[in-house]
Amino acid sequence: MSTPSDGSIVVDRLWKRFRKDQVRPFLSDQVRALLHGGRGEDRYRWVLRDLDFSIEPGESVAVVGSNGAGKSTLLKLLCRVTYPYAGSVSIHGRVGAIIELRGGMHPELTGRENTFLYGALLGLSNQEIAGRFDTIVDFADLSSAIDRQMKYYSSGMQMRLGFAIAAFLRPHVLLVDEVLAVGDAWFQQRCLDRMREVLQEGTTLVLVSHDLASVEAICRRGLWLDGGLLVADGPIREVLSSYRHTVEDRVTSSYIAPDSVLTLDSVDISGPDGGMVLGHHDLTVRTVLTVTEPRRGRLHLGITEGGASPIFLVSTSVDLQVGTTEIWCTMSNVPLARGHYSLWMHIERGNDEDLLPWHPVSSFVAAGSDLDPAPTGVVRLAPVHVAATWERTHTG
Amino acid sequence: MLIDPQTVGDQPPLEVRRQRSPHFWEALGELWAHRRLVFALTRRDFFARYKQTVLGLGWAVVIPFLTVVVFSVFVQRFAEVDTHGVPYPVWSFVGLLPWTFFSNALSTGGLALLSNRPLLNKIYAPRAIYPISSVLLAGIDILIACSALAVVFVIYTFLPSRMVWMVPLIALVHVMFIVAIVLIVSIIVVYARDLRNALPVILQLGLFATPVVYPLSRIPTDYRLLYCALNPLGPIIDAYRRTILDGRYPDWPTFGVGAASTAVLFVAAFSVFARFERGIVDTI
Repeated sequence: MSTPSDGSIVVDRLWKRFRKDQVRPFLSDQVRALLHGGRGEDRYRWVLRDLDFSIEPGESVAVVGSNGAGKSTLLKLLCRVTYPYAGSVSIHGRVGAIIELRGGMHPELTGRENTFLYGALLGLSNQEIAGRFDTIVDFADLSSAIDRQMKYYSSGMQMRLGFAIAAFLRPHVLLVDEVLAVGDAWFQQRCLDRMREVLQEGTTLVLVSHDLASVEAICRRGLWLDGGLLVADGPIREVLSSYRHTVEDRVTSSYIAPDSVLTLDSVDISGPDGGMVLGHHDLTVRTVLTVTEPRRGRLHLGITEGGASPIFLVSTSVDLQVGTTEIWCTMSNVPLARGHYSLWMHIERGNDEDLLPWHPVSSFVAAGSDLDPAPTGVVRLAPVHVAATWERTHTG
Repeated sequence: MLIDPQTVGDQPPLEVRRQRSPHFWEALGELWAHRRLVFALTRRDFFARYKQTVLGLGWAVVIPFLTVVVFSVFVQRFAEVDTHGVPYPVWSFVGLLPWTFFSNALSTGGLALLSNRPLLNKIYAPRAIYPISSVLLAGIDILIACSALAVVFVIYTFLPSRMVWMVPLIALVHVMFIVAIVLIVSIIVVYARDLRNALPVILQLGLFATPVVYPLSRIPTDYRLLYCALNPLGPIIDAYRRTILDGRYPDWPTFGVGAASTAVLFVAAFSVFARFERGIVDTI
């Protein structure tokens, strides 16, 4: 490594553990443990194990993973709120962290007083805060309420102020934990805009979020934590694609057919001429199912990136007679880019009764073109690929 | 891009496990670098206290004056101690102020880590700033209360002696002692909340175990130096009285023992705090 510059992060063989019992044992428990000689290491559980990575100045990195994977703990270690058990974390430059937007504000003080207090805690001088005060108030849209006591703020107002202060701190490293999950659509959009600006100013951004679409829009690189281990580190699209597919595996394996009337025998997916699925060509789904009683209902087929929300779905009404039925569906010119996809299926009977609940039935790989990259901070709702032709004329 | 988790062991290897806590001077330097935060927290607590009160900042002045009234009316009846001719209310007030400083600082500062949990959880700063800002706030209260002391002087037409110039030296030892005790108590409270429940009783006992309403000379000479080592507040209060009221120098043997004990305690407190502050957030 060359000499570290402001905004770089080096995590070196980081280990962190917590007590299993979050409650401190009473004296009586400790006496008992001492008598039985059971003062072992088994009272702890590892939250993070042997994390090893470095982040260059100006990088935008997303940390993804399921609940309890250790994402928030990693962020707290990065901002030195908590300490490692082994290994080290070193960050160069000023660190700004947005963790729990509302915590840390004093309810009895006014918005103005809290802004100065909070800014001071984040390492700004009074002059620096005063210089940014109007921008912060504008961004949080609180100009009429800034001299009101904090306890009379709505939760949305408190969050906006918290984000605005931290986001205008101009740190070298900005750590953001699950901010996009809160606030209304308008506020989320402003957060995204601000994060994009922050990146343009050269700040290193580390973002923890379950909102994969936003993560993909802002970050170039992904870190995937699973059970405290770093299992993937690379370009965001590739990391997210692997992550989405383990989510899907988990869903599939936990599925048990609840209805004995209907059995799904097989689902086959094929592309043109029975071959591989190809973007902008026909995709054929052959479904074989058996019913023991006649049923009428509606069949839905959806293509997803692994999760439950489809990129698009098609449906038809079905009239199932006793015995085995084969259903063919051809979707023409599917607008899919190259990548991994899942097929989800649902058969409903009306009266909100499901013959088959919405769940993944198969997955496939599509060949074709890659998606064009989106500008940073722009959330693509669905990874639909549209072929485009461009023409250019020049005058003058 | 994908990393094979099979290569990670169950325990961190020994060579990465060594974590060192900062030494006394490093801890003190880090604290100095964050001194503005101490002021910001003190400001916050000072102003938050008077929000939504009718008197507002007036309370800061009213409380000491009410104390004066209580003193003048009631305390005079117990004037059975040798005060070298100083009116007893003046004499006991000069002892009570240093004690109140200690008691106020400890009762808020001892819980400062608990009460600032939301901040501890999200912002990095040396954790010592929270208890220390409580000490600063209690100190400001005492400075305001000194105006009440001036009134007591006027009422009893008593002039402080020329030895008042010694007061800053005594106050330095006094503040160091308070900071040390508050740091230690605040960190213990995090790991064993028992102390929070015991704190009020301990403070009440402390008032009787300290020469506030009686002079230091009541402690038998045989044990006096040992006592001063164990409770530096005794010689500190005695030194305030000697310099402000009697026009004498502090009693150097007792004050010296108290100051030495305070210095040791001060270094120990910072070292203990630095050693245990790493676990605060995981425990609190």
